[in-house]
Amino acid sequence: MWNVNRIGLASACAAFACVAFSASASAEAPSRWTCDEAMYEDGVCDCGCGAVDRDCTSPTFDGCERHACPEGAVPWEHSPESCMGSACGDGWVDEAAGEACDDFEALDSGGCNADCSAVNDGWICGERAEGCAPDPDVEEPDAGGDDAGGEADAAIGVDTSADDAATGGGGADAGGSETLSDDSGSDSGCAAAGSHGAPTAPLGVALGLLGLAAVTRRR
Amino acid sequence: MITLRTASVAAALVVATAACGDDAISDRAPDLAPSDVTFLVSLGAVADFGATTDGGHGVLLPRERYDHVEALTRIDEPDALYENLDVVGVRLDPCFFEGTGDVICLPQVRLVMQPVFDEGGAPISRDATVHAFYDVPVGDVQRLADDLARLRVAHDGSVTISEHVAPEEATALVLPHVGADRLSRVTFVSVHASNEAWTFGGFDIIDGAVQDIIPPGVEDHAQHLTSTGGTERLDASILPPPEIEAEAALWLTELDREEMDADTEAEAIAGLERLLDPGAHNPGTVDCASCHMATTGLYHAQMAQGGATAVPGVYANSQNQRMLGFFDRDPAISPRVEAETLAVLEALDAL
Repeated sequence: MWNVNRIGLASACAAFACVAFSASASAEAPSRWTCDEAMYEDGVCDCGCGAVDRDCTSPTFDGCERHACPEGAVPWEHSPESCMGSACGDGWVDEAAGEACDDFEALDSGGCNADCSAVNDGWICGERAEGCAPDPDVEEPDAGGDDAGGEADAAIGVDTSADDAATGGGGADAGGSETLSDDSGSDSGCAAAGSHGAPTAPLGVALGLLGLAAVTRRR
Repeated sequence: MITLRTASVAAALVVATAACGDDAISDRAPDLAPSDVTFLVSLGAVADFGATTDGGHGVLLPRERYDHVEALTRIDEPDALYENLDVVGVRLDPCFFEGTGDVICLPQVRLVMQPVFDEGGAPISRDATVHAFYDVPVGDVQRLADDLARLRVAHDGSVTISEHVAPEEATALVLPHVGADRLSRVTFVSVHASNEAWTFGGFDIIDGAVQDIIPPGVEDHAQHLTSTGGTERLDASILPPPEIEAEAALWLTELDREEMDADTEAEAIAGLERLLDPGAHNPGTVDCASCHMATTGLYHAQMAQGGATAVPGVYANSQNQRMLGFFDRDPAISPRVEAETLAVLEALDAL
């Protein structure tokens, strides 16, 4: 079970969301901020840090660009500064848990399959809390079972432009990923808490910080 | 003892009864017991007593009304949820009222429904619920209570709130009084995929139209609750933060609780006690999530204070926010429901 108000930085660094960050400190973080001080109001919406990041413009987790929840936990949909046990159907694509998609349900219907391991034919699913939507280039998306996830599935703003270079300062629609490769193994973004180190991340993920969309698409 | 509230209720009931000429109060049968007006239906005990069942006034929960409810779980197909939405609790109330001021009685029969599925060869409930409220003439409520009392006596059933000793016969007595034509309110709790979060909501049906309920002290028609401590600890939060009994709501969160000074903590625990007191709060004075979380909240508070509590042990699991129903397979009956039931008996006795 996750204590939603205490996310140790060491455990945060165990997740792929750990960020090695060398920018100078921004505004003073609130007292319950549990992430690196430099991450507060740094232009990127950070979630799972125990307090609301002023960079986050949405009250729900669809605005999260990075999260610092421990392994096995993800931002809570309705209070993204808090964390909750990750589960298929919670609306958050937990890549560390092997999820390829998440359409807010653990059913074969909709854009994502029942265990969140694959996108259904004819659908596009985004990262993090972007949900799924029918692929506009496909006439009849795979309906699976009842299309129970219609409302959630349609609620995404997935950017399908592969070379979109939106800045990282916006909401989820800006795409990109919140992880950053740090081959040195240092965890300077989480240095205060320990030595779990930042996991190595692929280049595409690193470039995600610049706002390049990374979508999972099935035809 | 006739309390001031009882006197107000009695007066309101007299007015309500006089207005309905064919609802003359019948002669009293056996003395009523709590189990005659509030009881559980054992999981799987009755083959057809759920959302799709036809009552005397239509289907218990029309599909169009059910579809207005947020998906009760994330792991079950909507059709399956609807078909397996079973009645697990029955409550009679000759004088439901909400808010403050003059008592205006709404005689009701309320059905508590939960999705029930077979797992491992035995029925188990999902941690989600629908409450269906039916407007029933006060004379019918009283006669139904009497019939249930006779049934209890005939089967030597429990006088305390529990799983009914003769569920099929009991539900057969209830069915003629309920159905879509009398359905006036639906409230629900849906469960998140993680089983650590829930959404509370509800709507009234007024002249055939749905009107979302805005709980008192909440600026939204939906409340979101998370409770992640399980059996290890209490760590929950309600969004939007309730404005009524705000200290009690804060106390549910572990970090907020630890930062409270002694006076604030005392006020918070007093707030939990008020939430479980129908004389202090009703659905018109406090939000749903606060009321539902108060049971496990008080359990943990009393255990922390002295290591003993009268709250049932099923509420040791801080994810149990059930008032009347089943937590997996375990009956869960909140002290508030017991207190409300005593008030119902007072109201019926005052007639």
